[in-house]
Amino acid sequence: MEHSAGRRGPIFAEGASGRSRPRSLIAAISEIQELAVVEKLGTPLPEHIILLDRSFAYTEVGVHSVVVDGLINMLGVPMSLGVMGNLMPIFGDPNPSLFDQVFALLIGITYGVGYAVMIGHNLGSCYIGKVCKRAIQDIYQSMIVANIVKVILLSVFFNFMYQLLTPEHVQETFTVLWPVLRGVMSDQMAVGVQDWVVSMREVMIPSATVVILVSIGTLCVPYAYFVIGGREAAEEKRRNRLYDVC
Amino acid sequence: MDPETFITVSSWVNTTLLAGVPLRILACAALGATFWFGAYKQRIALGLLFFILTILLSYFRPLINLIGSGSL
Repeated sequence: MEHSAGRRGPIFAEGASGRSRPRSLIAAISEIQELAVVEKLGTPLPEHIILLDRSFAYTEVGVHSVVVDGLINMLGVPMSLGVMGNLMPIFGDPNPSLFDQVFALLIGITYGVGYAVMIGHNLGSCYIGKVCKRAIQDIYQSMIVANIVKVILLSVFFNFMYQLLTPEHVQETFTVLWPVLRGVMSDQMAVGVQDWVVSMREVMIPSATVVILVSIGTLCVPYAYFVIGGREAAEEKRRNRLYDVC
Repeated sequence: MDPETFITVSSWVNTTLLAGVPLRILACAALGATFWFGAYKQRIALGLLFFILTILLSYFRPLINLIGSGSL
């Protein structure tokens, strides 16, 4: 008793400083779902319940998704277009079936689209009240900004590759690297690789277009979920108030 | 493992697991794992690892053909 009396000081609510940052998408979604449950039961939450660190953490979740998606797009989209244009085989088949072509496209775009569907599906029904909307907007707006940056960077990259993969440049590069490559490549193989590299030049500009279209689609998916889910959540809140559900 | 056993095992893997429908199933599973770990679990390194595995499974055979015959 004396010990506690001798340590007087400011009182902090337990757990207020011990909240962990939502480092993963699951944690972020779970937190927003918790807030949405409170909102739907009719208790309006103060807008400033989301502190700055939380806001940054939600932003991080959105940006992370786009960074990984960009890396996958950079490699997957040109290859998928190469498969569709019969420029390169997939699964060892030089004449890919429809499944193979769809799978090749999926490799390039499934991550971003899947992520957007997951965010929309899980957070659509939580789009209610100032607090939840702000938290969701933190994630969504960071996705928009990161996608714009991604599209610009990938467009520059694909255009750069288009300029780089001319027959002359490829020939020069092979000439420079030939002393090293000679040990692992036959002459016939070197010609085959050069032909393939030059042929892949054709898919670079269409790849930039595909990335732009897929990014727009990726951003539209969660938005549609938010609009539809927000209406349903408002209706649920109205019913809860009407029937006094607590 | 003696060389003959290694050749037998590797040729069995190459002709059964890494060909046709099993190869497509493996590639689909790897792509699913990319999404599961990369997006859902936010374990980006593991997600990228599975993505590389997907790429290898999808485009591995052309690479082998390239090395073997010199043409894609």
